[in-house]
Amino acid sequence: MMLRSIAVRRGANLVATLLMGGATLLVLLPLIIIFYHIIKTGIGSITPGFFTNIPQPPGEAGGGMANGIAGSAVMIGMASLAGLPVGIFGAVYLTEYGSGKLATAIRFCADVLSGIPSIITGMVAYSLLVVPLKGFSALAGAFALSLIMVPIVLRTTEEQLKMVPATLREASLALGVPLWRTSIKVTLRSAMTGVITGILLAIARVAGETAPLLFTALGNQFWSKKLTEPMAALPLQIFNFAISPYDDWHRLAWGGALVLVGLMFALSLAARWLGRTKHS
Amino acid sequence: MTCKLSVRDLNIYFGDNHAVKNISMDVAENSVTAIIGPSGCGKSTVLRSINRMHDLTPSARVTGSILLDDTDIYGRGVDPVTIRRRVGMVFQKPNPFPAMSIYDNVIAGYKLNGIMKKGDADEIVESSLKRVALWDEVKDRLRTGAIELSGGQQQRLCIARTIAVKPEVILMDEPASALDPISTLKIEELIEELKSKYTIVIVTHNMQQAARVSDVTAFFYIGEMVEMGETRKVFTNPEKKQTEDYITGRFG
Repeated sequence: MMLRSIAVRRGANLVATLLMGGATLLVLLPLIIIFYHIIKTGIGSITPGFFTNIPQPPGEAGGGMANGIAGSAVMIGMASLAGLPVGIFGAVYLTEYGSGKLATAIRFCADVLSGIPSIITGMVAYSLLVVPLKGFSALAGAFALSLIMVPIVLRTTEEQLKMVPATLREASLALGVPLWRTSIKVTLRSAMTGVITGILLAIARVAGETAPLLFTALGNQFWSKKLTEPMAALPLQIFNFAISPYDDWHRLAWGGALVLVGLMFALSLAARWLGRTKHS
Repeated sequence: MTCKLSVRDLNIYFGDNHAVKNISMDVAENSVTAIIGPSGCGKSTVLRSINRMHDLTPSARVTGSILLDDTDIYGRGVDPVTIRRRVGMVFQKPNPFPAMSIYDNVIAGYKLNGIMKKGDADEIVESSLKRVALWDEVKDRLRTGAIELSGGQQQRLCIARTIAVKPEVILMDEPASALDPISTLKIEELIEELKSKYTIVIVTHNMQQAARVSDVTAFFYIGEMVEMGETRKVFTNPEKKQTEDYITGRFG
């Protein structure tokens, strides 16, 4: 067999390198376009007032999304309070106690649950909470968000717990520490950075969820005084303002989008940073 | 000599695998008993059955009895946690809690159980570390992480952690196999030292080590106990041909 000339091989190498580089650029391009566009159109709306004022009626300049930001924070907070313990301790049960068919069934259900479109989660929360309580509420919104968080946290926590070496568990048990204390104080604690990473990613995921809030928290142009009232949320406000015909509201929507994307970016960075320090 | 541990007709199964067959042995108080034998002979399996470490393996099944004084370790209603407080264990690879300081590792048995009294901690740490001859090496850096210690120091720390909770029996599963010769020597000296207060059962691959540290040696082969007797006798004048072949290096 005769080797092709070096010039031909160099040429082929160049073409392949360019193709791969081009493909990489194509992958990055949407991200760059989204960032560029959101920053360009949104940065003008980001004033101190954006974080302290509620939206103005159409036609009046200024106004902010303070109620949406606060509403998102409240509902994500409540969803975390309800969902994180269930997800985390569920994962402890699966890895430390669960064996056999029940654990397999729970794992399968969690996987199905995390694959369910979030709008369906919203409809379920609507029929379970909004209908019986006779009104849209922050409570129902938080419930829908927590349903989305549980399977994410459960599976990421489980993966982290599995990575804790068995020798640590045995060390604790051999000291006469009961299994439940060992699970929490040794196994879970050893996996903590990974678990927190999973929590941050779950929060980032639900922070942008709009669909499950449409039928539950509904949204609110003003401050909400009670958890049993409709409540504003950042993604809801972005949605409502973006489809409105008013330029002022469009500008607010872009500002909200920038804040949301910035939050996601920060959460992902924090998660990465935590994950990195763990392995060094 | 009083009998501390009395194993009767011990059988251990993992699923269908009959790993340990009809073992009966007595362990005298304040003695060192070595269990030797080739890999897979069931020696670690027997050791781990003495503090019910197999409870965590769903497929494991244990029959027969192990008496600790008058308590049957596998008796009805006996809590494995109380057994493990009386029977401590040192593992093959040093396994200090990586997130804890040297100080916290020593009192881990108390802290993890939430029974540490503030005033007692300093004294327990000092006496336990002195007992394993680690105190002088670490007394100025008790608050640094345990993983910064060398392997041999970590293993002595693990022994300190075990004796801090005042067990009666200490099980050692090849405690020096991951250590260099000097650290190994220190562990062996320590075993000699500890036997005045504790009853020790040690599993080892190293026959010289068994000969050096133990009073009684048991030779296991494929799940059965071939021979058990005074160490000097087992090593110089074994009763069974299999034992002789093994200790002279003809197989295993």
